[in-house]
Amino acid sequence: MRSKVIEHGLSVFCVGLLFLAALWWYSSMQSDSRAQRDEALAPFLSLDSVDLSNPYHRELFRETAETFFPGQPSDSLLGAIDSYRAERFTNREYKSGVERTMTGADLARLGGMYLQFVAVYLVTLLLTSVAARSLAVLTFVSAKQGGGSAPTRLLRLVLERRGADGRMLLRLLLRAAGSAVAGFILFSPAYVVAYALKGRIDTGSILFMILLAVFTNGVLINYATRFFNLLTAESRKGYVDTARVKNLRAGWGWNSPHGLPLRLLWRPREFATGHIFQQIYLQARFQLVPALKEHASFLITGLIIIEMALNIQGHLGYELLQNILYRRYDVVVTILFGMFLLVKLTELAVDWRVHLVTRRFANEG
Amino acid sequence: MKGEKLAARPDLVWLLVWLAGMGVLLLWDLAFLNNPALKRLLNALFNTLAAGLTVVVLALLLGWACGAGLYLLERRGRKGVYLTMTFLLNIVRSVPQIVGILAGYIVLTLLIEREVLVGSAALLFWMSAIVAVFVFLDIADLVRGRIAQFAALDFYPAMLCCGVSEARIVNVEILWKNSRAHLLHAMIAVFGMAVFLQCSIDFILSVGLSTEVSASNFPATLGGLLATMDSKQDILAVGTILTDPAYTPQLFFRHLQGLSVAFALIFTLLCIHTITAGFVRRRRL
Repeated sequence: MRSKVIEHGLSVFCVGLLFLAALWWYSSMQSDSRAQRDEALAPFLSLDSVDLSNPYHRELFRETAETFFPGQPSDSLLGAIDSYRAERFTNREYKSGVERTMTGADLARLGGMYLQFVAVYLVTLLLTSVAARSLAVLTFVSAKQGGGSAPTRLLRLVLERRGADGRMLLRLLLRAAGSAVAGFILFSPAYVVAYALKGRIDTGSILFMILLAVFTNGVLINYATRFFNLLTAESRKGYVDTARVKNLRAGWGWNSPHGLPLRLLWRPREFATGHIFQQIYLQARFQLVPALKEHASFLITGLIIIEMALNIQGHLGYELLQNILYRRYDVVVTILFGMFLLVKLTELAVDWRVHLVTRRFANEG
Repeated sequence: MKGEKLAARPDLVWLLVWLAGMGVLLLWDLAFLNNPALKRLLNALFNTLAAGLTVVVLALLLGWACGAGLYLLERRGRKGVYLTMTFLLNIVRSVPQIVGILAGYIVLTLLIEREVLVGSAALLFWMSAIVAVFVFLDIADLVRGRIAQFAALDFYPAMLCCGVSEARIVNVEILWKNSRAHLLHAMIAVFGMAVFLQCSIDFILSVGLSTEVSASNFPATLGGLLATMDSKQDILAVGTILTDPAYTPQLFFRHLQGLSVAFALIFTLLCIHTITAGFVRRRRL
């Protein structure tokens, strides 16, 4: 575990250094190029008799420049003067006359947003973990019951040209339609759902953001599928057959004598005692823990997409986008570093968890 | 009998479902969507799929090179290079994909402004390359996992004794002959992820940075097309059916552009997922 802590610490240190170096390089390059440009433009800017917003003066200036500086394209000179004049109005550094750097107030504001982001992230992480587990268990048990998803069963019915009574077909069709709608929501990028609901509900609220982060972007379904695949792979192993031979319960019906209680969906570990599913579940869950790192990273990606795409003011993603727009790279770098730190902390927590569980399995803990 | 055979291959069935769905969408749009919008939609769909495929190819090359390279470095006792590479890869892993891609797009924008990058094919390639950097680790991990699994078997030292070089054992015997199905599975998953990330970043750029970083400089993808005013209005109209269900039929005629873009994107993502799941089930991966 110590090596993991050192590795994570070292990467935070290295990335921090890298960000600082990039920031220093960018600001020095920026001020150098600006000083060079200002120096080159200074003689032309002090021409009091020339008004470059006047088309006549502008044309006169172009012709004069081409006469006196034949090698230099007059359009690029005019373009440089125009962008300099525009910047006098748009760039805060020119307006205030001082170099704009990040202040303590800026940092405090960013800190508040960061804490809010972390809180939303943790709630979403918890909800997706619980929901994905239940969804995976439900799908796994359904598959064991020989059912499969409604669209798959419907497709199989059509492809194999098997006969089916009308009521069953209707039920299957309705279930398939429900699955299709659910599938469309679960795989939909968050911004599609959010724009569809904009104006009907408050899409800027934190609750809506959490719901979007859990149910869209494919976050939930991907994590659930990963767990389902692990459960399936475990169920094929030899110890399951051994357990069955040793008379552990092996039925897959809900609430049946040899089957599984439905409340298992909420607490799989507690309610499968004496059933082969308990061991399958425990083994699969152990293998799922390292996958939490990727899930966490993808979840953060999803949250950033939601905040940026919906332009929710006062949120970290929006602030990041705005500061990229205004080229305030000190703020951009601070936010990026904060997000990197969050992923690293999650990875550290996951490594710690893996370490504890491994020790327990090895009878060391 | 043919139907039964097909039912035993759910991945193929879902590929056919995707093709059928996109075919129906195309026919409907040919009938009811105006010509300029249809051209934009087809162009965006083509760019999205082309970018996704480029990401898959680049991710496979990167993942294979990193996975096999790391193993060989470790075997040959080049500890320093091995640790440095592992460390760098772990850093890339810890960067949320969208953040890394956004940073890459900032660099691309600077290159476009300085006219270093010109032409939509070159732009599409570099856009894909940036996405590939942040998704190839899945393939690299798979390659490393497969090599580790086979290296623990007797067959590995046996081949060494027969005089087969380590590079050949890793690249040909393990990865090419015994891991193609696993790699194909990872590639389909990477394709889905690439489509999602590409569209999301284009949507964000088009919505959030439209005044500074003009998204029109980048080749249009489904995400970029979804961010246009027309498409956004069409998506907004979808919410109308919550309060006025009778409006539903109008969506398929009056709001076709946005609806078609959203359908193409979501249906593609959904089908990629089901194709991957079907592939896993069929090949028992």
